[in-house]
Amino acid sequence: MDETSPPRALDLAAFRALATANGLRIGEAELAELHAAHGVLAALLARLDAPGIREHEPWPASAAEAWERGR
Amino acid sequence: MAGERGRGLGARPVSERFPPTIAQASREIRAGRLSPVALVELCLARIARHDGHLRAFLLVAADEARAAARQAEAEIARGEWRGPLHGIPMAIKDAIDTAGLRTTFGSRVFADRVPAQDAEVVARLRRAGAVILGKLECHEFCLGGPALDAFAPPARNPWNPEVYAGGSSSGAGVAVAAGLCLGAIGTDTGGSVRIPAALNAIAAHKPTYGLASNHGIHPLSQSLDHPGPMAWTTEDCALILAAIMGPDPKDPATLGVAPRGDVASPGAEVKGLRIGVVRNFSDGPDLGTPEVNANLEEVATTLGRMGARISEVVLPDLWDYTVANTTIMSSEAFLNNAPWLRASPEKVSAFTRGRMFLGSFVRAEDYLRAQRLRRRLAAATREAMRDVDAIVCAGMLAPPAPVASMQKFYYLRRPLITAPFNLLGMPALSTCTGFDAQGLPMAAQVAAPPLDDALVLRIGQAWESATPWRDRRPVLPA
Repeated sequence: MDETSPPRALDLAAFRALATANGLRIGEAELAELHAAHGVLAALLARLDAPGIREHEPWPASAAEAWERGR
Repeated sequence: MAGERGRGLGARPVSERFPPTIAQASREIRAGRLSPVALVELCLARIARHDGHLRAFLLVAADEARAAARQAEAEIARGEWRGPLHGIPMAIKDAIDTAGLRTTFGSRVFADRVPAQDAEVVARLRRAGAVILGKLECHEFCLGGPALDAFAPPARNPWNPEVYAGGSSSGAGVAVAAGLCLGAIGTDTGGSVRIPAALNAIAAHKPTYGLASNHGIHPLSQSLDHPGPMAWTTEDCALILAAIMGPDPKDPATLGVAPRGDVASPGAEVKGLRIGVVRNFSDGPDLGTPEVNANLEEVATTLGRMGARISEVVLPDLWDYTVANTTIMSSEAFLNNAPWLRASPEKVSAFTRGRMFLGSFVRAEDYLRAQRLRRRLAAATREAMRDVDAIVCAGMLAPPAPVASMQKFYYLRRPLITAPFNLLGMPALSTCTGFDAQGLPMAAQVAAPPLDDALVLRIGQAWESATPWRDRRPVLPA
């Protein structure tokens, strides 16, 4: 993770606040289950911190490719 | 029952007979030895007999199908044969619009939705003369299965009704395997035609991204979504793909170029082809079972005996593809379904709701990093495949679990062996490669660079011609 990025994993209170901000209507039991799943996902997303990914070309690489795809 | 002893179908009660393949039926129909009306009656009789147990169909359009079959029969009798799908009974995943036929996306949110127009792939099937039998069960919004609290319960695996039938095109996999229809159209965002194909012992082809139109199909993740054919044989998948592919002005992601080779008649010969075996997707800690890896070795050995030049190709870590695919899919899936997830979450099954909600927590920077990882993986995959024409890998990493034991977030615990080919838009076929010790199907995937769909289909067709697995059908309860 970049030094400037906040951590992906959130404590339950922060997760609840974000769920509310995202407009999700969700009970406490379901929220706790979702929070646990988010912890698993956050750990998986550490793969996105591999060196060089941030500097890599996006998908698709160029306006020309995007234009060709859209023909 | 009408058509109980239909012309060209023999003397046994038709509900006890598996239908012919599309290619076989088409030859017979064209020659006047098989009636499209009798063929539709065969499928309707089988649906009546077996689908109460299998639950593959959400809607059976019997009257419309009979009318279309009569029309096909009359046209063919007049010499107006439209092609290999003319008079062939097919069915459509319920994520795909069918004019005048209820299309629910597998959700009670859309329980009463009847589209006015066909999806482009359905319109093309109808123009090719196919007879639409009805709509097939799909996991809610193509993501939420197997959910026991869904609008429609999951279709049952005809090889063992207690185990997962795959998804999200589950009804399609079951209906084809059980001989309720001759072919189907499914959709595939992370493996949703190939997984049910693998678990039901049928063939399914995820085409090159953009080869077939997504217009009129409920979007899960636009840059990963692919409609694709599902049928008993690869030969039949090729015939279906040839009918549905091509540019569509209503879907700007469709390609303006034709695939290489002859998709409709790709051939069935692997002699001289360079095929790379991808062992590192399945052979490693927490990846494929020993039986899966042994099966892959058998596939490689057999293809080698058939004349292919076999080598090993080492691709990037399967988790890298899976994480990129899951990140992009989760985020786009939430965006596509946010209105009803926010307004009526109680109408959505718990599995779907949880998985969709999870996508709302994906950060923008992670979504963008996933797209960049996607680019890197494309370059690495292309480089690794530099000396081969196609690759083969396992179809699934493990046998299907009992449906009752499956967890909402199981997909976060194991990488997804079908996902790389969605992520990179590569054509990928799943075909049956045998049966495990429990009698459940096993499968391999064949993949190739974008636009080499005919090559993938050629390898699958060669495999099926040289192996006995297309002769084995599930034993269905009466």
